[in-house]
Amino acid sequence: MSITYLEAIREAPAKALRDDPRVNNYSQDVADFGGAFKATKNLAKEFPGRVLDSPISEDAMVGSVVGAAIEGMRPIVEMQFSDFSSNAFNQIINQAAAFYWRTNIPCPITIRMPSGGNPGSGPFHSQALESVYAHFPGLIVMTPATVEDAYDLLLEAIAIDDPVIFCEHKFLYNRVKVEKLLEPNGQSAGKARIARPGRDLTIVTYSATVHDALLAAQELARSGIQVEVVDLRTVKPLDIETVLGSIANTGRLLCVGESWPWGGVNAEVIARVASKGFHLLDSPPQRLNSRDVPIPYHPDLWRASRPSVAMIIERVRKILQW
Amino acid sequence: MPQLGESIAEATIVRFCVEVGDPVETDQEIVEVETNKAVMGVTTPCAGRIESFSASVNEAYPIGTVLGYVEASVEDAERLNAAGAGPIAERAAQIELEPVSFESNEGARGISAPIRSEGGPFISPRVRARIDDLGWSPPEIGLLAGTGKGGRVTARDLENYLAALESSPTEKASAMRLAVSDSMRRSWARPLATAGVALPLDPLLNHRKQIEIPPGPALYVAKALAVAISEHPRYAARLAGDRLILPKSIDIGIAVEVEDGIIVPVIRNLDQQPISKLGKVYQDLVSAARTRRLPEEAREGSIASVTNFGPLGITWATPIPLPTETLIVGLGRGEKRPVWDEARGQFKPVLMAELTITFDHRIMDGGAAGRLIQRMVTLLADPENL
Amino acid sequence: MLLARTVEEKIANLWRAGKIAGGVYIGKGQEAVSVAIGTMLRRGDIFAPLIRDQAGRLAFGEPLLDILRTYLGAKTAPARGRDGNVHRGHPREGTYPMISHLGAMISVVAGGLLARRMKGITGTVGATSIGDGGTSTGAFHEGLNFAAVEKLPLILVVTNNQYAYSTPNSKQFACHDLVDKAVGYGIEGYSMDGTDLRQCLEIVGLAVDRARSGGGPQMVVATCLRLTGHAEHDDASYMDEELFKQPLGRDCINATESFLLEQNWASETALTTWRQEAKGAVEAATQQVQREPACSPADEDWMPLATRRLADFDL
Repeated sequence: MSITYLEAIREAPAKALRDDPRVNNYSQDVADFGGAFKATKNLAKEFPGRVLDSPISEDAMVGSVVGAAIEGMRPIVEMQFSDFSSNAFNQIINQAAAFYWRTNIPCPITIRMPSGGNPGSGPFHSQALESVYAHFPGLIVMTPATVEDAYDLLLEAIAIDDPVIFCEHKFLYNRVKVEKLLEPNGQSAGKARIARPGRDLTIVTYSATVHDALLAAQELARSGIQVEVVDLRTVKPLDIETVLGSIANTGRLLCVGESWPWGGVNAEVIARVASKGFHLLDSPPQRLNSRDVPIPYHPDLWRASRPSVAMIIERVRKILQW
Repeated sequence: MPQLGESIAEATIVRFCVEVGDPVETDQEIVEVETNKAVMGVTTPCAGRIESFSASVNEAYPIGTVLGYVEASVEDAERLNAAGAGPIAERAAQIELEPVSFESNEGARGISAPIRSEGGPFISPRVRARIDDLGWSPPEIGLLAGTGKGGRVTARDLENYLAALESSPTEKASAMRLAVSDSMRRSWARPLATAGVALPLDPLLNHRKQIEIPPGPALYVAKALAVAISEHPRYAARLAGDRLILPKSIDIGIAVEVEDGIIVPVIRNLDQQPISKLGKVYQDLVSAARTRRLPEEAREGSIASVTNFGPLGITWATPIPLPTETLIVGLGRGEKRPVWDEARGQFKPVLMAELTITFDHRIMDGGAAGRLIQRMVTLLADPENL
Repeated sequence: MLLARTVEEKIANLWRAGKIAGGVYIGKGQEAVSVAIGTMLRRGDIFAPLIRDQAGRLAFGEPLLDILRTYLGAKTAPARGRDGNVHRGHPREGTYPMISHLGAMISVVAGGLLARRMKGITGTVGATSIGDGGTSTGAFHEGLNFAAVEKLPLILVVTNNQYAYSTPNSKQFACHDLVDKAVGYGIEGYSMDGTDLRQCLEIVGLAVDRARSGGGPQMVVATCLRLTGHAEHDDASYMDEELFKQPLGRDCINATESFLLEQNWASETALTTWRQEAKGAVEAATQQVQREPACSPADEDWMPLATRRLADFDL
């Protein structure tokens, strides 16, 4: 019996729905249909009246869960694709994110964002928007890379009293699995982890590119290069202490992420490292992002536009020659 | 003038609706003003009497300007002037930007930026931080071979080097050793050259027999040096940019060996000190130096110094002046040498010692060095005049 | 209505005297519509007031001090200086504080009502106001559509005061009458004369009852005239003078006073007394607030999250 990343994302709300009558899900196609990716399969049946279909109204969906939160609920809302969250942008950043600041009353909503590219998805079904939402005060942004983290962090997201933007990566849905889920510790939010220890260079990354980084590290190990991979897990708040600890060890940094370069998570990590850990750097910190273009549709173009295992290997080698 | 709209900065007085001395009520409109958006009224905050106006019709005033005064009851005045909830508009209006002048300032130039950002002598922040920890100074890094681009010393290179050092026995360097090390490193930063001559010792050795506390040969050499410099102060000048700094007084140092290093006590105005007194002066300085109790004025400030390594058995050396000195004179071991006596047509034995002078070649050339040396030789041939 | 008009006049005067930072928005001309909402709702209902709802707020139970504390920057204001002017409310007590983006509150009220349904709470309704301009936003459409699909007990009061800032109706919508939109959403719609207090109470009361008894969303469209600028810094010189002379341009408070006198439900003396009482209450409240401590950066914890341990601190 194994559990995929997607199944973990279904399991966590199922557990929450079971344990807490305040939890519900109001999103498009999530009820009988079970969700575009089947992330809510059977939940409507198991929890009648608590998993409802909404019209195609991202703005109203997010506005409505804010209202539900005011009335004491802990709602989950799923943007069918993170790309469509731009329709709800105002409600997310001005209504939800600012609510506690303006009223001193918490807004415990969870917005699930199926993010990231798949071959053939094209510009409007592939976006990774964690950097955009991390920019606004009042939001927590999570980017799990593993099955365990998808489960643990989603459970925590529902339990946290603030709006959480949960960026689940579609590419990982059925491609990553574990034998079984362990008991969640409920304290993973905001903490990075060392996915692979090393001594020559630190790669800081999150979500799907963690797996690319691990594959690159494996390949580089055959030439005697030991790369340390740090999985951020949550990008806001950012666990810069773990990153700095890793760079204290290796002296070199490469940030890898699937979002676009300008003002992204990679830029934020490097800004903080340059500021607080200048004396730890033996070479200029580097970043590897997707290219600064809308995400291409054709699979070959798509592959060339985003960070790949080969690109990571090449960049690591280049940094080590410095 | 109240805050009349979000981006309004000033308004023009259209008319005053009341006169000085008129009684007014709370919220009564008393002035009509015009902004670029609309004509608006300015109202009174409380009841009272118009005491004065300090603005004129058709003039524009910025937000926050006092337009006049209302005489009011003590309570109202206290309430409205108190720093409580209320005048947030005034605080909002207080942000004034200084006009910025963009005239070019010829004299203000930034420091030139390095062209290279990688390789070669570039020291990364981490390497710099590490060597700071170790107490090294940047030039010491130059001794290491680097495996980075252009021979850059990487953090790993540094660690490997330090690890290799671990396998050798080590001891802690004393404070004296570190001080001398730093001093010599700094001195060596300039081009130093050495010139020398063989000095006959008998004249000064004979002269000193008459003195109660006889000065050693080094003191004779020091006095001769002091006299020569006083005749041509340029010999001991220092270079600062495009200026030569000439010595204020002829202060000469005499090197004294102490445990694990050297101290150079300074005799001030040596050119004016009689040679007969120098023996005692020097004795006192040496014991003070050895017990680290030199008086303030003897600790530093020498423009040149003398070092006598003859007693150590050294015949010849190229000493290094202190960083603040232009030159140093070294005296080697005396030995009998054959010197050709033309009159007798044979070699005769003469007690000679090598006198070497190391000088800052930026200040002094061979010619000047030679003349300085010759002058000293002449003076030392006739020590009565010292 | 009188109290709302009086306190808003006070705020406008304070603004003119330079005591208020930022814009001042008053609801002159709409008091009848607004007070009807506040009066016909019950304690326990949800009300998301919009810009010109001071009368409704007071009728619904918002303390008079709130508006003064907010505008005068007192530490005791509901948002403690973090937000201002009309962006205020007490969410747990049913008054949802608006954000500036028009139409955005409709889905929030609808969401609150849906949550109550899920929790098994019955018998409560939710109301929110919007202007003629706000009906053009996407958020209006999405919020109302969703409320209609879920058949929620939402009362949407649309006050067509003829102008949205400087934009007249002819540039705002193409349908003949805003109430025609109700059919499009599949909900019940009513029209009323926004200057006639009696009509407002009657029709808003009817809408509230219909919503409360399962009639789904109710749209009430009131016609009146904005008797002031969009905000106090706007002199509204673009408004058509003719409108002020028409019936829809009459002042609902004057009209109500005339009516009361006509019906002998109140005497001139009574009206004068009420006006004085309103003024007195406003003065007393103002003086109280002016003695209260101001907001100060020293009191700020600058914390945007309820979960302190997850705040993202950088340099």
